[in-house]
Amino acid sequence: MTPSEPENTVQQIPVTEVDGGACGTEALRSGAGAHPETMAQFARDYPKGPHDQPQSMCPAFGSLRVGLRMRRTATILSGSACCVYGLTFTSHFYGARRSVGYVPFNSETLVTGKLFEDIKEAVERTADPALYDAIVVTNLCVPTASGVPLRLLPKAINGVRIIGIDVPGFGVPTHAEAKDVLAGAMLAYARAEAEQGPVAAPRGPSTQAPTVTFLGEMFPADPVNLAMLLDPLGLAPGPVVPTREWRELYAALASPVVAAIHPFYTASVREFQRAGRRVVGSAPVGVEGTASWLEAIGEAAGVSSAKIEAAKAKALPGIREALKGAPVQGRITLSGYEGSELLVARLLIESGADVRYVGTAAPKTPFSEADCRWLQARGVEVQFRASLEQDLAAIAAFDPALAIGTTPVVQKAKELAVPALYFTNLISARPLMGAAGAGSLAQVVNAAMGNQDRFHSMRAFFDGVGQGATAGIWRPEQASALGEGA
Amino acid sequence: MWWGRTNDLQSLYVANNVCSAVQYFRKLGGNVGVAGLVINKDDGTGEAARFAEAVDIPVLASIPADEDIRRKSANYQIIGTQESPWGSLFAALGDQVATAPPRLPKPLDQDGLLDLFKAENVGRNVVLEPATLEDLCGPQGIAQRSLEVVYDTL
Ligand code: SF4
Repeated sequence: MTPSEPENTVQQIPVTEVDGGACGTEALRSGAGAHPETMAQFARDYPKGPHDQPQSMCPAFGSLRVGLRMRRTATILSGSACCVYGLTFTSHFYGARRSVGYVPFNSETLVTGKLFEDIKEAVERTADPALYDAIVVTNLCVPTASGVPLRLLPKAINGVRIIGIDVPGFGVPTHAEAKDVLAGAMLAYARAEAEQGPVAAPRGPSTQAPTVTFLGEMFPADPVNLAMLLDPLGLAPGPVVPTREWRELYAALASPVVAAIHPFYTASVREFQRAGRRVVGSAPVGVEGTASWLEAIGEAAGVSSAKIEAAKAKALPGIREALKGAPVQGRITLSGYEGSELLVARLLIESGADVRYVGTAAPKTPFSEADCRWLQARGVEVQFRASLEQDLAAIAAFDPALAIGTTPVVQKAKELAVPALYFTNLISARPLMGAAGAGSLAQVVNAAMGNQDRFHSMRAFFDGVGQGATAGIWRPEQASALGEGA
Repeated sequence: MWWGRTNDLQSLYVANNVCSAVQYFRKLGGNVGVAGLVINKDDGTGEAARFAEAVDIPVLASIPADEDIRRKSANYQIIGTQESPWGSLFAALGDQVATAPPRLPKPLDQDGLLDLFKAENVGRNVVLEPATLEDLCGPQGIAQRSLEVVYDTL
């Protein structure tokens, strides 16, 4: 240092921008510096599929949304600015009325560990117990790969709980499973608190009946339908995990039985099992699905078989009626990333549809086992961790009257003049459980299949548009073929 | 002076501990040093020599891993005589020990010590996976402890 420079001058350090946002580049995929235990646990909880990168949205969107939906919960992201931009944009597009905190970094602060200090400072500044029960800090791809050690953050500041999670695209295959990463981390924290002593009671009137906790986000009417199904068993509905408030976590852990409506909540299931709870898979969809679910839940809760039979006798006739009143006919292929794909397929089949293929982005777990067997016994091809390529191949192979799927699947189907429905927007946004679910799909499904003729005329009208010489891509050989001269 | 079978990790670990102890005593004001290292049963792999260099102490002698020496010493026979081929080796060692000044060694840290060896021999780069409860107790063996959630009464 020359004498002319005072010692406390802020030095401009030439900064190389970190190459972020490149989902699954080699460097990131290897997760070179990532915490080995975390990565090993991810590999056990979320086994890879035919592809080892998310084929849909950034997985961190799943956990981000879970945090943003919770009361008195602050959210801080640590990652490349482009990733954070995309994630916050999407979260606000989906109606998050909440700010997302961001701790920016550059290669200098990443390498020197200053980023961790910056995150720590951000957490300390945010931890206001008047505003928050918890702060969720999420490492995206780059800081996870570099091993920014969020586990070293204080466990609580001023009574505000600090939850640090890694949600990298190279370890968490779907945004669905990212929801489990956060839900599982919160359940682990809450379980440790409940082990220490008394915890905050849930809001609202307390129920004397033993409760059933539900795992998986559902259409808002479904918990009500589930409550009606449980009533004759002498059971009451507990919270839905992911929860909307911290204290619901305690109530969720207090339920003796957990219904894994969505099958991919592996880390959460582990917390429930550590608390000594019974976890039951599948869901009450259709006549057969509801009958076996009531039996499994009743048995897990130690309910007498007389009561189980009574619950079935009360629920099943209504479901049978509803199915009969709303038949579905025609061949369907179905794929999605919500985790409820197998349940929807069961319901469609009981409604009379000829379902040939079910692809789900979720992995195979014990909690979808019964549904998988039921579908396979009816000749349905079930593909766990389905890739886009497999979903498209199913459409080509089965020539369905309707393809239900993700955005790129629907796009492709429409190109082929196959009527198609978005799983997330149109199927997930309907009740599935009990009698209310039984008749709910027919209308939208039948309306879509009724559009086949329109698709044919549209296709005839637009035939050739956007292809070859009209694709908007300059190709000299085509131009000369059209006599325009190169 | 440290004398041991010295081309293996265990021996060098102990030798390094001796160096640490010497340094520690110095800090407390003690007057103690290390004369140097005698490499016993030297198989020529060189780790001990590298260690001596790294902690900055001289090698006073290197006694080869030789079958003749092994047999004779197992039978309590003296080998350091002028009649034996090893006489001059031990005479030189004696002179070295007599004249070597006490030195303050620079002990290595754990990684520095491991770095003296080939990675595959000491399991460097091996990622340890902690045993799960299932590994230790089997799937049935996990005690089903039931959590009792007690609510605050406010
Ligand atoms: S954080 Fe998400 S958007 Fe960013 S690189 Fe990773 S997977 Fe892609």
